[in-house]
Formats: sequence, structure tokens, C-alpha cells
Amino acid sequence: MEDLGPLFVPPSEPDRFWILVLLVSAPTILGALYALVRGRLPSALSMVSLFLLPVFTYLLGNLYLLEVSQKVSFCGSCHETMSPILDAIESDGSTLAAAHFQRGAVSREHACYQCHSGYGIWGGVHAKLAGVSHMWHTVTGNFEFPLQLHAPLNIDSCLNCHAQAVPFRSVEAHRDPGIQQMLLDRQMDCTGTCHPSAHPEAALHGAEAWTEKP
Amino acid sequence: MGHVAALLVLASQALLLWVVFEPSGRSAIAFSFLGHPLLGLGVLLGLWALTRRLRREAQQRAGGAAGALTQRHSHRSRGPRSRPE
Repeated sequence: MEDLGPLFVPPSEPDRFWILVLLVSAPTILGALYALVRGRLPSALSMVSLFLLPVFTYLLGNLYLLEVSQKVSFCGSCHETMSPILDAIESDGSTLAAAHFQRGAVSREHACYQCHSGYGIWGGVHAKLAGVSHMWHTVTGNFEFPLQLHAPLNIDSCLNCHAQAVPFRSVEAHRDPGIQQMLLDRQMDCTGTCHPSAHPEAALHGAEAWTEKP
Repeated sequence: MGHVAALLVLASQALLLWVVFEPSGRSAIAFSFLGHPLLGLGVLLGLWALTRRLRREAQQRAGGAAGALTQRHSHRSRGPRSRPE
């Protein structure tokens, strides 16, 4: 992205969680190295460095991964499947996701998570479970193009921002009781019928198809 | 066994540091699907080795105590030492 000066750099907190992980991981590594070289550790020390500390480091690691996996850059790191979608939201302004992303209507850092996670704590839990299943599909290669949502997008993610917004409330179609009921019953989606699709069709066919598109 | 446990724990820590310093799909997959089993196996082997060692040490202590007791008992059963004439 073009560098227009410091005013155009979003403020961000420096990420220092890695220091905590390193503080716990370093003694674990030292203890394991000592055990590897000497063959044994004093009983109490081996309990700490081969059981308690490693388990604790993984607890911290999982917390860190839960946090960092919300980032757009993390989603985009799966090159074959996600990089075209990331490319599209930055370059192609015609789709719903790109319009939100480029207008700053969603967080630039957490855009994917913000729309796809659903609302509330259970939305986050479902998103994490879906993330594990995505990783498993990537490992096993058990996925097909075009990519598809396994369930309709939870419109609570949309309503979380739009429900109280004046422009949304003033649209005639949104006030229609029949449409409201169909949307809330998940018989109808925001995209497709009324709004453009969230991502361009070509971006759902993988990186190869995306680079070859006319 | 302690060596293997330490090696597995070290490998799991390497995967943890990879995901912390370079979070990406690849490192997350390695951490989730390789790191956790490595850690689990390492911890289990470590605990097993530790339990075996503690049990062996306890047996040795018990064996040593029993040996000392038998020795003392056999000394007593020989009766009072006869004085050299």
C-alpha cells in the first residue's frame, strides 16, 4: 500500500505477548536440553521442566494463536485458498467485502473474523472450531473449488453494526415485515438477492485461477 | 526414556516458538497437529520415566533397609559372641 505519511498508519498496540511465552519457554528448553545431555534431572525439576512448564507454554501458545488467528494477514497466509480473496478485498471495490474493507467499515486488521465469526461469544467459539476444520482440510487437501460457506452467513454479524444505523433503518426494503422475517429465519441472505456477493466468484477458485483471470 | 521425552518436548517447543514468532497458516497447522501430539507424547514419556525412576529408587531404598535388617537379625541369631579364651 502507498505510503502517505504517519497519519495514514492506524494506531496499534505493540504485541508483547511473545515475551511472556519466551519467559516460560526458555526454562522449559533449558531443562529439556539438560535432561537430553545428562539423561536425567532431579525428580522435582523434571516434574517442572518436562511436565508443568511445557503444558503451560502450550496453554499460552494456544491463547496467542486464538488471538493472532483473527488477523487478516493470518487468514491470507494460506496462499492457495485465501490469498485471492485478500487480494480482491484490497483491489476490487465492486463486492460487498471489498466495499466494507476499503471504506474502513470493518477493522482492517480483523476484517475476515469480524464478518465470519458471527455475533457474541458463541460466534467466536464457532469461528475457532471452523478454523480448526479449515486447517484440517488444508492438511488433508480435502477441499474443492469454488470455496463455499458450509452454512449461510450469520446475519447477526451484519446487524451488529447496521441494525441501529440510520441509513440502514431508512431503506424501505429493510422495513418490510416479510423481508425482515425471511432474513431472521435465514430463508434469505443479505447478499445475492439485494446486495452484491461478498467476494468475486473468480477469487473463490484458488490462487491459480485468480492469477489467470482476464 | 528421559532422552526421548526431552527430545519430544524440545521439538514441541520449537513448533511453539515458530507459531509465536511467525504466525501463519503453516506454522499454526504444525503447532496444532504436530506440536500437540509431540508435547503429549513427551510429557507422557517423561512422567513414565519419572515414575519408573522413583519406583526403582524406592525399591532400592526398601531393599537396602531390608538387607540391613536381615544382616542385623542374622547377627543376633548367632547368639552372644563367645569370648576368646
